[in-house]
Amino acid sequence: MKTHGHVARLTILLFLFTLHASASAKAAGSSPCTAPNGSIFNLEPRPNAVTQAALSVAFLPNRAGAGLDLVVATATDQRGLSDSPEAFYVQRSTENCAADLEGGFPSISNAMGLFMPLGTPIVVADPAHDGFFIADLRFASSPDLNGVGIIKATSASLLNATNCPKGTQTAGSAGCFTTGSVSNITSLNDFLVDPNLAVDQRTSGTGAGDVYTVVTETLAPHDFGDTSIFLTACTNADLNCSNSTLISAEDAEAKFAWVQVRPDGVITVSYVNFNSLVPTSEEVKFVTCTPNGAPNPPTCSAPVLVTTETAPVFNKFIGQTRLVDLTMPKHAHRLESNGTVTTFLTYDRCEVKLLKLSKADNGTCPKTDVVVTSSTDGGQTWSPIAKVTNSPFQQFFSAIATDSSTGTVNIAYYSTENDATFQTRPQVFLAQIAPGTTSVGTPSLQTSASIYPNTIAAIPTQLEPVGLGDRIGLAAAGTGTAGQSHAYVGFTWNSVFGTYGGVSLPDMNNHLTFLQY
Amino acid sequence: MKSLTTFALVMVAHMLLLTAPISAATVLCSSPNGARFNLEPRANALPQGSGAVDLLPNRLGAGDDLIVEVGNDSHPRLASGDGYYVHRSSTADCSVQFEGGLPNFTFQGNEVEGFGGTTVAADPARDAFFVADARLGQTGGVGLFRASVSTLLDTKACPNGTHTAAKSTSCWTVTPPVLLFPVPGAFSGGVFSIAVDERPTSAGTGAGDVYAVTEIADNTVNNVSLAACTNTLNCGPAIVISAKEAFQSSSYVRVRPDGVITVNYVGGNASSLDIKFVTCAPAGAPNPPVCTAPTVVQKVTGADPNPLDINLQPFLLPKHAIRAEAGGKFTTFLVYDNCQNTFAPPGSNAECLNAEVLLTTSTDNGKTWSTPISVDTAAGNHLASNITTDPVTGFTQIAYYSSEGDPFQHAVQVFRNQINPGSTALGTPQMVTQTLDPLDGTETTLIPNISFLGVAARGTSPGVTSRLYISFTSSTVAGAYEGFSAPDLNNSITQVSF
Repeated sequence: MKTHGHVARLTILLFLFTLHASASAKAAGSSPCTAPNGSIFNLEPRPNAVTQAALSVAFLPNRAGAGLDLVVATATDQRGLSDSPEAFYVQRSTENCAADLEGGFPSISNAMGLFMPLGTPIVVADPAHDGFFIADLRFASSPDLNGVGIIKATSASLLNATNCPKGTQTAGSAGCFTTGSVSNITSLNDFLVDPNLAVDQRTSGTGAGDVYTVVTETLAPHDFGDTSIFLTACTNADLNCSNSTLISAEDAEAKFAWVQVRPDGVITVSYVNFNSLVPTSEEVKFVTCTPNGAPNPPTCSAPVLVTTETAPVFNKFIGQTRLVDLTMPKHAHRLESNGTVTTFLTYDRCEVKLLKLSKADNGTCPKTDVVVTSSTDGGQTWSPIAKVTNSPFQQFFSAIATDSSTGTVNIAYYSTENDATFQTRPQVFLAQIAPGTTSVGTPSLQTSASIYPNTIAAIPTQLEPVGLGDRIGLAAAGTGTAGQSHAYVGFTWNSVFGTYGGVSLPDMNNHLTFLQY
Repeated sequence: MKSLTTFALVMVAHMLLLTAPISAATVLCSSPNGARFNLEPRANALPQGSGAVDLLPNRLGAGDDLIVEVGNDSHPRLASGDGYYVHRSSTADCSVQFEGGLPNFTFQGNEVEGFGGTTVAADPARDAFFVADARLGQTGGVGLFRASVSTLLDTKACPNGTHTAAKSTSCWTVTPPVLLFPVPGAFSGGVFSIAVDERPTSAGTGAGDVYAVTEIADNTVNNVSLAACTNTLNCGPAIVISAKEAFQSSSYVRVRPDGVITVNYVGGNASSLDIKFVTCAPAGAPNPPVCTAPTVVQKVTGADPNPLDINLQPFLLPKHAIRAEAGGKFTTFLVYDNCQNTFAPPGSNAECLNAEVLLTTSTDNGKTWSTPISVDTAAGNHLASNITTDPVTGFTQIAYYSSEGDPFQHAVQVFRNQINPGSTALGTPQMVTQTLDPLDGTETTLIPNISFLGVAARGTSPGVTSRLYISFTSSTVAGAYEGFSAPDLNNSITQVSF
């Protein structure tokens, strides 16, 4: 009996020690999320693996359990799950940045046809209504149409292991989602690209809970050279959507729209206007819209010029990386303690003149920066453009997200700053703007490992993303208590190899990492 | 006390000895990443791709070799993109004293200009270098230049620095250049090669002759042709040495120590691809040699040896080297890049998962060949192979790029493998350059030419150390772009003593 008592005490001590050790390990950053390469965030088997390129990530803190975030990420996925090059990935069982389930997206049927997923899925979380929304491009035939798809998944549906089982959704993923809708439907003569969306997180007031999408629409009469930005408002519960509203005014080549909703329900859109015929400048624009309650369209102001960049990085090489950059402005809002809102906007820019060393050279930026500007007057005026970091070499694919629980603004990007010799191996960094300030703190390294980004997929696929794709996904949230916030970064990485004919070769995958703060 | 003083003096003297020969301007040949071998200013530097290298050992002094490297140069500062780079200083290092682009010259009243494929061969017996390049004009072909060492050392004909078109002309046209394999318009051949019969001029028929070989393909003909020139470039008509295959490529010529000309090339049809070998008896240029029918060295199967990498783009360019044995016999070594593992994605052509360098050997003058073996069996890509034999010592050297140090199989180092005299067995692969180089380089629209490395190995007498030079493309030296330093592709060189 005495012996048993000793054994029991020893067992308890060991248990406590184990608990302490695991807690310490997590605090020390030993989570798979913070591994040198982050964690691969898909379930694709390694034989004959094809490319996944990260697009977006969203999460609901502690929604899958105490200390367990419900995480949803999207990516371009060349497997063609659900016959489209796009997929979603969900973490719901362990806090280790590993996907429990993945799948393609269901088709959406309405009076105009059966709309199949076509690409570029973007996910946002809706903590106020306990769910997620995903926007993507959609295609219907007979007649040929395209539109912006929106599908909704409640947390309950994503956590339901019967309707939304673990693993790859080989039988279709409809059970993971609750409703869907297609808006901004046009003929293929007005081709749509690059959708984005945001949710009004309020629970009361005009527009509360409404879902907004933006998309770039190409105009065929101008050989697809002219593009405009359209905004649509949808109801939260049943995705009843408004007609689309042109918000880019006379801008002839408006692209890469990014939509957010301020804490007071005002909708804001940033985009870039580029003149490809006279490629001397890119204008970063900002639009503010007043909600009218979906399905009524918002009322928008004329675009405000944030800044003009005279060395456009659109379709230019990023230093020596052989990766191509795009000016994709993104912004985030922060509610201040006095009730005002500060808006932060980030994008990639070329610090110096573009290089064009020969006729065949499409242009290279010798020094790409991630820059940030802020506005405290609703986007009417903006602070001087400032670099997020003074690090050497190339910083690119910037993303921004505000953790509304703490007021911390997060900025993620790739940087080659630690590859002093060749300047081609990127790593993922995360910088933060502390609550109450507009200055960027010292960036933290998220992936201590680095990769060669310009490898070629062993299995070529149509419309395959090149290199690291064109963006990083970022989401930040918490409980408001220090140390309980997470900033998840979804990024593209080839540290996990595929196997092809028995030979191991680099394979691009969507990865996930986080910063706990 | 005395011993301490002596020790201190010895140490100081030792340090002085170590440091004295290396001045600030010295460019070490065998530094960890070799040496950049051009004079291009660093501001807005453009890519150079290595082509070939040769040397005359000790020609500038004890341990100081006269080195000529050629390659593709995209910088418009040169007379043409067919660059030459020469070390001729009295400092035994790998500094470049002058560089330029091979000049235009006139053929049948019209100018022909260089457009790539530059190669070089030294002629120790007659103290000269030969350089060839592809030519473009109303008539295209292969341009063949000769420069005597006295000209290359003449600072008036070949002044230091970067040559203008006039200086390139004065440096390389003392012996009027010739156009071989003339065809209408741009040169329609592929890879070409030159070799010199290095025997003393009085050694027999063909001694000192220069041979050029190429494949020619246009709407009317396709074949591998061989031309013979005297050492002063009096050239005879080209003769066809291939066997009416549907297509040919990658011809490469050498001259055996007994004056016999040997050519390897790739010939094939829709269903097969063969590495072939031809032996030709010299007839004394400008008379064309007399050649045997081609024999098959090896049937090539599977994919091209192009690994799945944006930069590593080798071609099937077999090359051979010949070693003289006792009793008037010869051993022929032939290397080529091969795809070790192929993979055929659904609906796509077969791809190469990893490239290897294969070696096959013949001891009966090319009639039969050994089963090919891999020069380096480490995991990764091994490619861009070249081979040379030091005619003095009989050591054979094989050089290649290897990605074996890079898990991503993207960055490469220069490796070599040595075959000792009297043996056909490969040695252990030796790393030559230390840094894994991604070769991403400056101008991202230009993929560097890494089809093959250049190699030349020469000694002065048996039992005395010989030197191997390897020319290669590297991005370890940076350029300056709008005030920012960034890697730049350069033709580079490294030296190994053996």
